[in-house]
Amino acid sequence: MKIKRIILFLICIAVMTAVLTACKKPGPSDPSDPGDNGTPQEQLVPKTAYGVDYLFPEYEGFYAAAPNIIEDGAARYVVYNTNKTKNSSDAVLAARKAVLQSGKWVYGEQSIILEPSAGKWDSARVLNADIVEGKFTYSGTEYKYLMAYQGNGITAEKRFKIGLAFSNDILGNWVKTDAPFIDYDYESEGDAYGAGQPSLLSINRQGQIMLFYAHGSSLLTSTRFVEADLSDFSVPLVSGYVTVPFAGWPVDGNPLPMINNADFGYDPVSGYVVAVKDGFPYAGTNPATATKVEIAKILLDDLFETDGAWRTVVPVINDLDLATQGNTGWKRVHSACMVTNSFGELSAEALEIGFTSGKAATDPSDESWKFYDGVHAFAVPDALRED
Amino acid sequence: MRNRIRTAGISIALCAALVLGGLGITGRTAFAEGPVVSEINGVALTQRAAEQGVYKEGGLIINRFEATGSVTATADITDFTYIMLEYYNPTGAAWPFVFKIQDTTPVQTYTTESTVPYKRLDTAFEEVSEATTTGYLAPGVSTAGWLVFPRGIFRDIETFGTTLAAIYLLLPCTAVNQDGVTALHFGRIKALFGTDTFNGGTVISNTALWDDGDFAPRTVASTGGADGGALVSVERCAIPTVTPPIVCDFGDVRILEDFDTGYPADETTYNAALNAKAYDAVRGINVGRYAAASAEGNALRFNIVAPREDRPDDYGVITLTPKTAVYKWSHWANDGGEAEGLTFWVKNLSPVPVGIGFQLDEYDPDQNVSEDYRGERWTLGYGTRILLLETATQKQFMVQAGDNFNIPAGFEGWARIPFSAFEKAWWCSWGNDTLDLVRIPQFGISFNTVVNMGLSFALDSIGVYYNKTSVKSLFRNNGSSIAENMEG
Repeated sequence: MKIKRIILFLICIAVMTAVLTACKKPGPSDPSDPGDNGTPQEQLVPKTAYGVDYLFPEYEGFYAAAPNIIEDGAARYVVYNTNKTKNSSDAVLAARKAVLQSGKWVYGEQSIILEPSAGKWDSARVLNADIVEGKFTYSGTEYKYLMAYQGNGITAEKRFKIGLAFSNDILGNWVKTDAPFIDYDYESEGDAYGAGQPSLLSINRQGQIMLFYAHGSSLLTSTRFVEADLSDFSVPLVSGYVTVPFAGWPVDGNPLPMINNADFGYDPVSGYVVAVKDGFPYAGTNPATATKVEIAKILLDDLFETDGAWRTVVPVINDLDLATQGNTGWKRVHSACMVTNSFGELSAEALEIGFTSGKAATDPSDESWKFYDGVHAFAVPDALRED
Repeated sequence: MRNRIRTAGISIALCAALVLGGLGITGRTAFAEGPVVSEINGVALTQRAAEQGVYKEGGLIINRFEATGSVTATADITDFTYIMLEYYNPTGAAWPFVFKIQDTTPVQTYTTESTVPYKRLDTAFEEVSEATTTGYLAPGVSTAGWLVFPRGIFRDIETFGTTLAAIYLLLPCTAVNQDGVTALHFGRIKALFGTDTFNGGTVISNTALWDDGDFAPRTVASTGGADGGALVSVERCAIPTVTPPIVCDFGDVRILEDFDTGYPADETTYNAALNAKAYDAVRGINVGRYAAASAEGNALRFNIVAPREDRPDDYGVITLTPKTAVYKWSHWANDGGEAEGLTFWVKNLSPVPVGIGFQLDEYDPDQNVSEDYRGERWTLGYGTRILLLETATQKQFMVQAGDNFNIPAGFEGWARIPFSAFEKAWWCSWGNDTLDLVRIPQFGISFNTVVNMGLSFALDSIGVYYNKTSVKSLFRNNGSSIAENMEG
């Protein structure tokens, strides 16, 4: 009898273990954790830090990209793109919370906070989230946080649209709205990138927001914004779109400046909107991303004027700026964000950015750069500033 | 003419008819509504009713002369050495005309048909060029000055007597699509004798001195059995002494072209007249009257079609002359405000965005167009931010231009392009590099014929706006919007 009880107990333990294992959050975890049978899991190989360190431990085969870093009281959150399956191109949104320990933000475990919805417009991938705090009512429930994200229904870098989701917890329980908030009709505008890379600012710390986003059609790539009052999402008030001026940004060898992969923050004291964006030209070898980011600012009211222009804050942040002792710096620097509070606010006097790093392929056969994107933070030193 | 936003306001069409009607190109009663605006004082000949493919000539017989201030039926020009004709070509092409003189004994007509060269002088009597002709004369695009015919240019002139009985100024009329389009202005006619220099001589005809009633009986010249009077209209033209005041605007808008007032009522004629304004070397466009229920009055519908085979990937252009003959845009005559930009009503009739561009041609303030008729070309600069107001939703947009800007699919409303958006065309090597906005003889609407082929849009009420205009924020008290400025 006692043996039966012991066997039953062991079976229960095994079942619970199996259940817990099944519930374990996807993505990389500490490789020192023992596996089910007490042996180490598949050995995860830490990514090499070629410059400033990762925000949290990162492992080969899992990418982390396009951070949105929010400082909310005593905590920080980072939301980023990642893959659920090692060495896979799937795209989900993950978040981690950090607390300050000995003057350093220490990030906790990863939570997958948004995934594609089968049969919906975002059935293939969701990525590039931006979150802002306010007071939003959706389907009769009041929410504290609004997320804008981009998604599509095909596994390709095109036909993106921008959707919204609401939650009272950055780390989970996000409720998507049904239809995309910023639509893109590829049949009329071209089978191109579409609408993506959203960036949110709160206007009144309630339901009024500005949503910046990239728009890439077959004719033109630009960054736009809309204003919206989403206090009651059943009766949203949404403006027409305004194209963000590119006057004042570096030309970067192009015929004219381009703004994409941009993130925005607002300084309510100075009235400036501060933006960080990819610099050009993109790398000519894999991965074909930016090798630098740039920061500029513009008075908020000037965004509404036909002659609005940006003022350079930092003309370039690249591998040289992000190198650490003994390292050469990141060969790819792109998809950055302004570190803001939960309302999208910052101080233009003390800027910090998050950015995505990557390594460069050494030759055409080298694929080690795949799934190597990582996320970082970087306090912008005054020495780099030109404003 | 488009009404202003959602409000009845004043009757724009009525006011426009009152102010602009006299400057229209067809359907006029001579001089009842004031002279055609010109660079010279004299007479304007405009083709009116050609019959396609049938050669006809029409124009003016001058048989009253003002040699000494008194009017005579003939003029003694014995031993003349030159005859000089003052002219202005306001069109965008070197339109031809025929010049003949006729004596009394025997009655014979002498035409400019020889290899003896004639000269073109500017308005200051400085020689610009020399050419020969065996028939038609074709003064250059947008030029004004004098044509100097030596005695020998007239065929069989050796039989000419002593008495000038008539001078013929005729337009050859063969193409229907030039009705209402081809127009040449003529002023004084001088005879030179002996050692007379070009700035001397004797004025033998000056139509500027004619009374209104002196014109109509002389519009009888024709060939091919046509009624010359119907074939070509004859109207007084004059240098404006003041900038025409425009009071029929709304808000901060002054309309330059409404595709309505003064145009032919007959749709076929209307469409032909407007199609003739397309850049013929490329084409790629069919235009026609657009009078859908949503439009008030007439707009112009643009259908972008295949261009000429030898220009498969070029830009098509429609070139327009400000209907009100207002060349000075920088400041309005009765308004102290400075011009901010161009405005127009547009409706995208296609299910996809359609890209259009604007270009301006302007003379330098001190440019002598008789010597150099080339306008300095200004086009939309890359990155230009253009304001749109969607009439139905009252939503404002700011779109970005390359050399074109895209009108969103289904959009209907108003657009504003700030003048600061215009950049000098890279290929334009002349001009003072400054957008002066004081002498703009024409502006153009351009479109890429490849990207936009098969698309359509309607355009109306092109004008100048005078208040700085912004997108009005939903939440902030910033600037003033298109709607606010149009409401005045």
